[in-house]
Amino acid sequence: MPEADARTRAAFDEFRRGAPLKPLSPERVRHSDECIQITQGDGLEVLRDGPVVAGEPPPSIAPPLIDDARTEDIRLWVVRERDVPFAPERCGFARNATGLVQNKIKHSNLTGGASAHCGGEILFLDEQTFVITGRSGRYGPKSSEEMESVSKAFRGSGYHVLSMGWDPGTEQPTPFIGALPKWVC
Amino acid sequence: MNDTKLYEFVFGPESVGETDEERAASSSRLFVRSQLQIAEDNPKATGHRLTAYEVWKTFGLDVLKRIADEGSCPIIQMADEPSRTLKGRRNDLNLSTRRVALTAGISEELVERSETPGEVLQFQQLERIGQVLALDERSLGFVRGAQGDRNLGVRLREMAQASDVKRFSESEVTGLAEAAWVIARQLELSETNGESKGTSSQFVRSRDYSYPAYKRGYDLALTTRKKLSIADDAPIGSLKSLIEDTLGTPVIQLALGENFAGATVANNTSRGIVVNEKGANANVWVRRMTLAHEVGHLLWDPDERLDKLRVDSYDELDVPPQVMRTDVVEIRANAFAIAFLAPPSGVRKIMDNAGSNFDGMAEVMTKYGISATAAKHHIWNTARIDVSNISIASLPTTSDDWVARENLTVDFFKPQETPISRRGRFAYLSAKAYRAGKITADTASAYLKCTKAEFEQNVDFIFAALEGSNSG
Repeated sequence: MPEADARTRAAFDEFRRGAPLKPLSPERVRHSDECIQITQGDGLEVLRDGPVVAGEPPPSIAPPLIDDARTEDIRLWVVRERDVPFAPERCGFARNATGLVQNKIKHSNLTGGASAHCGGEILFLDEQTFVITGRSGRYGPKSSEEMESVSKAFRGSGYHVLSMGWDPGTEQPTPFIGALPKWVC
Repeated sequence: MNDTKLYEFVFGPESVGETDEERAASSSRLFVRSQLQIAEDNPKATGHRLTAYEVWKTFGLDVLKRIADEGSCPIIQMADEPSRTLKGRRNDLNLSTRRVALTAGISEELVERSETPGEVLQFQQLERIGQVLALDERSLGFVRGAQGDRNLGVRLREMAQASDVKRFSESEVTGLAEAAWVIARQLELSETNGESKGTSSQFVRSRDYSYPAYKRGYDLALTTRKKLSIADDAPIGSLKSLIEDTLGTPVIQLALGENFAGATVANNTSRGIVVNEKGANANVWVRRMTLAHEVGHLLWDPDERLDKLRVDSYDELDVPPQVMRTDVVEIRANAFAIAFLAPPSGVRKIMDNAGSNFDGMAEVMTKYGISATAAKHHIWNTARIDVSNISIASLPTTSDDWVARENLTVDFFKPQETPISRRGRFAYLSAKAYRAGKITADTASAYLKCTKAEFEQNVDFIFAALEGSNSG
């Protein structure tokens, strides 16, 4: 598995300094399959430096409303101690595992059940643009500040980033469907 | 995971029971809802708190499982919801954003934003709009259309565009839509509280409007009295109690235009009665006639005749059924009303035994609780005795006893912000469901259109004031 590139490492190291590791709560785990570490062969990738030059402003187009039909393309991400892996929710491992609800992997499948700094979902719109949420019951951000901070780390990795942001109604990260994302500056 | 472990995972180890409903009802877990999702409760969240029972009832076990698993669950099924449902419904009702805002007690800008895909409002604002539009506000975003009764919407719009005296103003459309919402929710609260469903569902609607329709009305009145075990010729002491407690039918008080007496409303499968607090209904005997007329529609008119909404004017209710020439549905309901309250055989007996026509007429009025105008027509039609020369001014008037028995709401209700349409049995059932832990104070206060603090301060008052008259 290739290590994260320099810009990505730097951007997330800064984030990690303000966001301590979150251990996996055993109460959330319903089946041991949820803690099996998936591999590259299962569809696991790590975030690499993107093509967007530092300081380049976000596109001037209005943020798009995420279509509910796109939920099939959702991938999960986590911020581990040294990298930021991501994988499709419905990857090969999920299809074959018997203990995963609705044949979807959990964030703990990206960590092998270990701790992580943060977690969420990612939806690629093109090679240099993606939308993120902080939706992870296991490692998700605990505040709007943490959500904003991790969004900036993604942006610092060299991508145009749209963040779904924070939902004050539930004090949870905002999900993909039903709200407009915002460009991360 | 076996059933017991799953139940404990979802509802907590304190929950008990063999079914989803029993577990949900005994769970002490609290949740919080925004426009977009439901999550485990936390003190900083600004959304609407829900009990496990409420989440289960609206969203089902799968949503609760996902919350237990992930801490939260998105509920928006389609990206353009709930804006599409809200805008579509407002257009169906032909209401302006200004009118919806005014009735919901929020700004017009918020109503416009609620109809814009991707805009996120506080859920409490959305639920106010949903109530005004007679939607199931709890399912906004989760179910397209939010269980709105499309045919009722169309009917209300048609009546707002009518060219006759029954044309509705915008405020009457919103008033009746809100009444439809209260009717649906009250019946559900009744079920939630484990109250008797009432006997109204045992009546098989009659399509017999054959000539003379007034006789069909008399026959149905007699049948109804028998089915309800009301003794021959006995008066109906409290029609309000009979409708709400025995029939299990909501009666909603509303301020409508001066010419409207009452209405029968069907919201999906829920039927209820609306009575105008303005105009001649201020007299309890007139109000009894209005209510009895609506009972005739409610129990006996089939769906295609009721057409979701029947609105009756005071003028129509005053016409003796034998004289009425046009609408057989109204002829039958008018005849039903008078014969239900004052059985013809009973009226004849009184008139036969009375010392004078004046004494007889006075006894018919005071025994059966009907107005002088109604009594005059009825005595002529049933006993063929002309009492038209008796001065109405010299006849008895309504007693305090009649007024007390037919009171629909308490005179000095708290919270004061609660509209009159929600102050009767609806308020009692809301308070009862709250006390039983079935709904939260957030839900109860949204139902009573007051703040959470106002509800919590007054819940004891609501119980004390309404329990006696609503515990049947």
